[in-house]
Amino acid sequence: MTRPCHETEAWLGQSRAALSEAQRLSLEQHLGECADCRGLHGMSRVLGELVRAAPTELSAAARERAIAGAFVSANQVREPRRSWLGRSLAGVAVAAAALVFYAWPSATWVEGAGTHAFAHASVTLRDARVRFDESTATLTLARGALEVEVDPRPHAPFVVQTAHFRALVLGTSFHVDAERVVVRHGHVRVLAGDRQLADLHAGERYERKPVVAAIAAAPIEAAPVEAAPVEAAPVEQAAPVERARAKRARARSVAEAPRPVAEAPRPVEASTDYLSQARAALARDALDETRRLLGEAEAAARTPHDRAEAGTLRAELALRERHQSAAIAAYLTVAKRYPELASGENALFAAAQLSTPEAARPLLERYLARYPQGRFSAQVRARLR
Amino acid sequence: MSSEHAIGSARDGYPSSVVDGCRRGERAALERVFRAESPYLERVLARVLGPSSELEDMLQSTLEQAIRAFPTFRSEASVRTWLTRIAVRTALHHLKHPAQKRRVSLELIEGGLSATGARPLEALEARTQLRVLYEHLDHLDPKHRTAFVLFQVEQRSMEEVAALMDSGLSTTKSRVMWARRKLHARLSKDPRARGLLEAMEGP
Repeated sequence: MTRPCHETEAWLGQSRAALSEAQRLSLEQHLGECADCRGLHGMSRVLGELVRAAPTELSAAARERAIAGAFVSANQVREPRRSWLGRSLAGVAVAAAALVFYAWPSATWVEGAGTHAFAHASVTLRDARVRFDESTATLTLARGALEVEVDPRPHAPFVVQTAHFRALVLGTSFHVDAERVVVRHGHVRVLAGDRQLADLHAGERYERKPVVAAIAAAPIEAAPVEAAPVEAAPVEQAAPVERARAKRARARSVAEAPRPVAEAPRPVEASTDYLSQARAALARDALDETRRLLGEAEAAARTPHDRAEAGTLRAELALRERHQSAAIAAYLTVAKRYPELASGENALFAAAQLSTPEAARPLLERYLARYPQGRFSAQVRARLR
Repeated sequence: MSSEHAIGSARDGYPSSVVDGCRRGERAALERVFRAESPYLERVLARVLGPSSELEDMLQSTLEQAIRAFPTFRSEASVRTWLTRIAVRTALHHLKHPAQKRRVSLELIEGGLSATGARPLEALEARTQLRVLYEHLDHLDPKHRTAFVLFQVEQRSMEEVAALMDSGLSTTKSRVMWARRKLHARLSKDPRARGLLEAMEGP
């Protein structure tokens, strides 16, 4: 008579070395007689091996980014919560500082359209006026909207300050205007003073609620805020991702209200929405739906970022469909068309990874020539060796 | 179980000045500990969460919480165990949050191929199996899943899993058992898991 199932179940899937001699014998005897436990044991063993064989470590650069980011975020949200009075006073102080800041004459304002490099970020202005403070890596947005691509390599945060919040970025691509942040890749934290308003990942967005008090504090050039619909809401009310999502319909109606200046072009947002939906569809293996959404996204895409993202998703879709050569071709297209974007760099590396060793070598060499300090340069050098 | 996992051991090898520095929030001390422990924490997070583009974010959240909590660290457990508890809590929070479902990403492609050195199609097959597995794990209760992964994949003892998850021993045993049964039932019905099922029949 062997031990009952419940007594041996704790040993299922364990390596033999982890069990005592008596436990091993009992388990083997039980498995010889119990088909159910044999099935469970086989599953536990195979799954354990499968997961343990998968790589688990970040690249050295990603690890350093995470460590640096942890210090930044711990310092950003360390302050205790303040009373309403404290918050009001802080709000007044921020408003006053903003007023002085925006009114202060400076030779470093940049305005209009076009793409500019600020430290480790590539910023496309959309009828925008910005000023960059190199010492704090802070880009102040006075008017309009921005498309930002931040290179994660320097392991330094990049901040975009608007009249109402600031977006703390740790290597990512995103859209920002006075009212909202839409994240395409990576991770952005939206802060107001010491408070964290939202923690956004790819495909997520933060939309600010229009507020009464902020209008009085609006900077000289912040016309869109003055034109925004007014609602009775506390200053700088936090809008966590979950709540923002639940109230998306209302937020959209606010976003779509006519505003004379700084309204982000709708196609940009539409393509971003399609892209995030396509990514979600791909994650749940809805391949036809992914294809349809990608078509919509490509038709609506107006920025290189969105087109590159759509190309990357095309490649991932092909990979999921086991069309490896199509995936490589799609990655190479992104790499060729958007070499200046992080997506282009990722795509070139991915194409090399999927290729045979003979085909991979020229791609890896091209990667190193193009991105000698790139995100994957250490891995590429190792593979070439 | 491996002594590496011993709960409450003082085997970190950090001088007391470093641990005291961490308590005081000194960046150099914290960075030293984080650099040493990050690969281990990444492994725990990656195994609990599965292939995810969010591993970097999860590590950052873990370290961020550690920076805040270090002043209360009492050396009752090793620094590694204490950090692992934080990582497990971070992973659990992430799993419970419906808005933060896993996204299959380029990271999966990078690691899956480069680290194993397998041929692309073999690596693709392994990745597919891994994805199928984590899809089914996504349907388990987060606590059941976490207990199962810590016990079955990380090869920790039930006592260690219970300590890491701040739960009782019998609760932990029950979680592992239910996770195993539910996962087995789900995989048995999924035709995509045929490769896994065939391997399970092997010796």
